Amino acid sequence: MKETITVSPTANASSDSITRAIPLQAHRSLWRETFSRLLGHRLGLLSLVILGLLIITALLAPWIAPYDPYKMDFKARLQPPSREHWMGTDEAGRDLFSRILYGGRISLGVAAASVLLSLIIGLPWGIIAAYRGGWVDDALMRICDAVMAFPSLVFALIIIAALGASIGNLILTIGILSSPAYARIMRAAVLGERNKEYVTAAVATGTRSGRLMVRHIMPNCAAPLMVQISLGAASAILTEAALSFLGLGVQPPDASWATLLKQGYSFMSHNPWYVFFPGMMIFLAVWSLNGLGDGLRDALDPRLRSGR
Amino acid sequence: MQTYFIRRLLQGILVLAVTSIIIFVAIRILPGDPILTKAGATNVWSEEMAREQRHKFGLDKPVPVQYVDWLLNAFRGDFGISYFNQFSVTELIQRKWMATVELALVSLGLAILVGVPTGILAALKNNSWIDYLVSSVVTIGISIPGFWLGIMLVILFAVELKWLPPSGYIPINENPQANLRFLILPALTLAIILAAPIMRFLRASLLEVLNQDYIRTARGKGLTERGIVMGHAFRNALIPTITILGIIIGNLIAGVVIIEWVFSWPGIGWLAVDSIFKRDYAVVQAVTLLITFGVVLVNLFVDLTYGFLDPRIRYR
Repeated sequence: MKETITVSPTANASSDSITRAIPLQAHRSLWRETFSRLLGHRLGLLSLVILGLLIITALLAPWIAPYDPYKMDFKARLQPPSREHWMGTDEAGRDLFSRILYGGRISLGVAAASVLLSLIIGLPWGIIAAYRGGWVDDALMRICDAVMAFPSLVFALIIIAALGASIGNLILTIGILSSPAYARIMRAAVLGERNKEYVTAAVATGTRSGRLMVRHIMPNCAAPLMVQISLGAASAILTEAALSFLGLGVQPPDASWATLLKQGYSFMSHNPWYVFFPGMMIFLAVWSLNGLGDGLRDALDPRLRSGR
Repeated sequence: MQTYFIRRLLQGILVLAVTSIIIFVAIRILPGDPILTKAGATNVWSEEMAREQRHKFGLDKPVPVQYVDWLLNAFRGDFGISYFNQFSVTELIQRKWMATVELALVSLGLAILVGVPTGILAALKNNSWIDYLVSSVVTIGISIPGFWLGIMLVILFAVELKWLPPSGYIPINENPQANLRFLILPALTLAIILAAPIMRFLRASLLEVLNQDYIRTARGKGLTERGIVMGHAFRNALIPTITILGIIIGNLIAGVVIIEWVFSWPGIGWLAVDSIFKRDYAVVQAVTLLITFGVVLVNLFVDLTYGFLDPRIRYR
């Protein structure tokens, strides 16, 4: 009953239109189609470029960082941006630009890992709910409601405080707390696909249910799922940032963007750049993931031009 | 109708039961012994005294018994005594309550005041430069980390321009003018974060309503554009907007927790974070239970109102 109440434009409509728009081709052309539409979508393209840059610079950090991120230089503390230090330096004279490049690995890595965990939990959850129906469906969806009803930051705060602040616990908490969203979308997508003719055809030709699920239904549910992954990664970054800022997330000497931000916060009257740049990176990552999600939604279903 | 209400009510109670157990269990396994923390690093307390203290706070009973005790007392408005100091938790919360209510109400009011008209405007001027501008502001508002926005405002208005104090709080009954000066920055920060989803959702649902057949009919019978929007479109667009009240409240709570921390605004959110750091079980439990209770109540209210306004929902 919940899907009538929560308005989620992603779930049903977009998966419908794909099968309608490209009825016969194999799924490779679906991706190509989507991708080329995404490139035509101004905001989607910009998001894709920014996100790509953030990921590439994070991956290549050891090769492109101009300084060792841990090398201290007490003669150059809390400097504003300059030609030597593009983003200035921190309280120990470490190069902020280099630290941010390395920080991206942790911020983006935590987001990616927690989305992966959400998928591992959420997909079977949604599929079982959709396939079993009845009381199993009811029970699984009620748990979804319960977890989603509670403000996740407060929940995460308590769990992290109980388990201890570490990168692993951070991924565990964010991954588990956001999995219901994936379960719900997967359930709606599977329910939408199950009665389609191609499924009936596959059943008629004697396809086993496991193979039916993996080979036939799953690829057609990928569209709404991709939108959710993009938006989910954005909110994972924000949650990690909030927890790390409070001191309950990534702990020094490891530093995510938000850990750097937290440190810079203590020195904001000496060097405002120190708190500006890490926050800007978080914002850019979240913004581009949100934009990519919107772009994908539009690309997958041109009728649903939601936001720009 | 009745079954719908009853089912919703039972669901709310279920959520409350599950979350209260999770809160309680999570807090039991928090690292660190609150009694030893209280005794301090000096460890001046003997075994005997520590045992006495544990007994005093009921910490020597089995965990399920502690849970039931806690819940029963909570219903009576008694959340026990803070482990950290001798205040009753209820009193601590009462003292912080007003600051949070003030901050939440002012920023929610600001967000609605700005968000609703701009959301409507963006929908009416669909695909105009105003629409694009509003949509860009919305995407920024949704993506910006609230605490960072707050810090940036502090750097601009407090550190550089020196117009406003960077953080702190003075009760409104002591000095209303000073209270307002401290309130502006945190309220502005929260309002920006809350306004973005309001604008986005109102715009989307109004656009959807404007495409409906009955709007075309209204236009066909010669109603003015103003009459169409106010008489037909807006009211119907409001119904789905009620559902985001739940999302707004979620944002508000997450926002309050972290914004209060940034601005040293001594409210419930600040108390929650502070007591987590102090390992003050009794306070953390009470605050999170109250927050859950609030969230469940709001969601219940939303669902019931929605079912009341839109009869289709009642029969799924």
